[in-house]
Amino acid sequence: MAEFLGPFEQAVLLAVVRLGEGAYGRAILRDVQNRLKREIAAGAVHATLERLERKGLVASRLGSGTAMRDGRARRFYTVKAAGARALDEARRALDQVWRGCDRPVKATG
Amino acid sequence: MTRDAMRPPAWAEWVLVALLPAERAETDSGDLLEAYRDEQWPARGRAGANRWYVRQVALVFGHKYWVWLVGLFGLFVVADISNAYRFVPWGRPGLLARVVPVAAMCMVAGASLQGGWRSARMIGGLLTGAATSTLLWVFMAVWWMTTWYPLALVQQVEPYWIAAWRSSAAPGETFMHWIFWDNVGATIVSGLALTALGLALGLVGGLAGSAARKLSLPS
Repeated sequence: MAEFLGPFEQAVLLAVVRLGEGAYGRAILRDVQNRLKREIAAGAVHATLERLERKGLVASRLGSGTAMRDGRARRFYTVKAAGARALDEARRALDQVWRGCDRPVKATG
Repeated sequence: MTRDAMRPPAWAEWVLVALLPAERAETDSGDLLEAYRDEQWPARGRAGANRWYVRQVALVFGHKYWVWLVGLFGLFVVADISNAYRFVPWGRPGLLARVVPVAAMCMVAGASLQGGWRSARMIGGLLTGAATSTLLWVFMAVWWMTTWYPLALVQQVEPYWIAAWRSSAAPGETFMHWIFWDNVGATIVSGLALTALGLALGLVGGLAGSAARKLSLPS
């Protein structure tokens, strides 16, 4: 049974997938903001990543810092097998729900 | 402008690091510093970037401790309305007056314990305790200033409140004037008490939480 993912968790996990080797906190934040087209608190992304890691859906490793961040280390994320399964399941459930409906949805009454 | 000069307020950075989990403080604060320098400063200038940074720090606190705040605010609202109506649960006078402060203290202590555990530092718990009690004070002040009149309309026909007014009002002072200044006094006294309580419980919770976390971490 795959882990249930909320929409924001899906957005964060998909950002990790898209960014690949370059998936660290700031890049994930920027990717999620661009996709959702609204300002997101950095704390929300960090808290979500922390939760996903606790659930075993992502793994993280420390990487080198840059001068832009005063040499502070970056935490890079990768999606684990359980995370990939959870994303697939979320997409499958959404496709199932939408089956038989065209977009844009027309009013029926 | 050199990169070194582009720096968020030192106090806000300090608060952020104290609130973050010990193992993520460096990486998460680095992400924020990078966004501050790379994106916020060029787009908003120093003042705007500083406001953004401080808001991010406040949101880090809100994301982790909102449950305690909602609990404290809810408890206070229930207690204040019950007090105005002189509600006596289970027919036991004084029960609310005894239970509510203890429950509030437990919540502030719980938040402090979580803060100390999360940051693995006493200061994380101390800061969390101080912040939750200060935010409760702000909420109390706003609540009392916005509800004193509708609640006073209820209180002015309650025998308990009429007796309290008669015993402590100045000669010729109306009920409404008396209850308004009673609320102002309560706001000031509660604020001082809450600040002291938040610091004391924050210190204890922070010490206990950080000690428990350090014991649980692999050496």
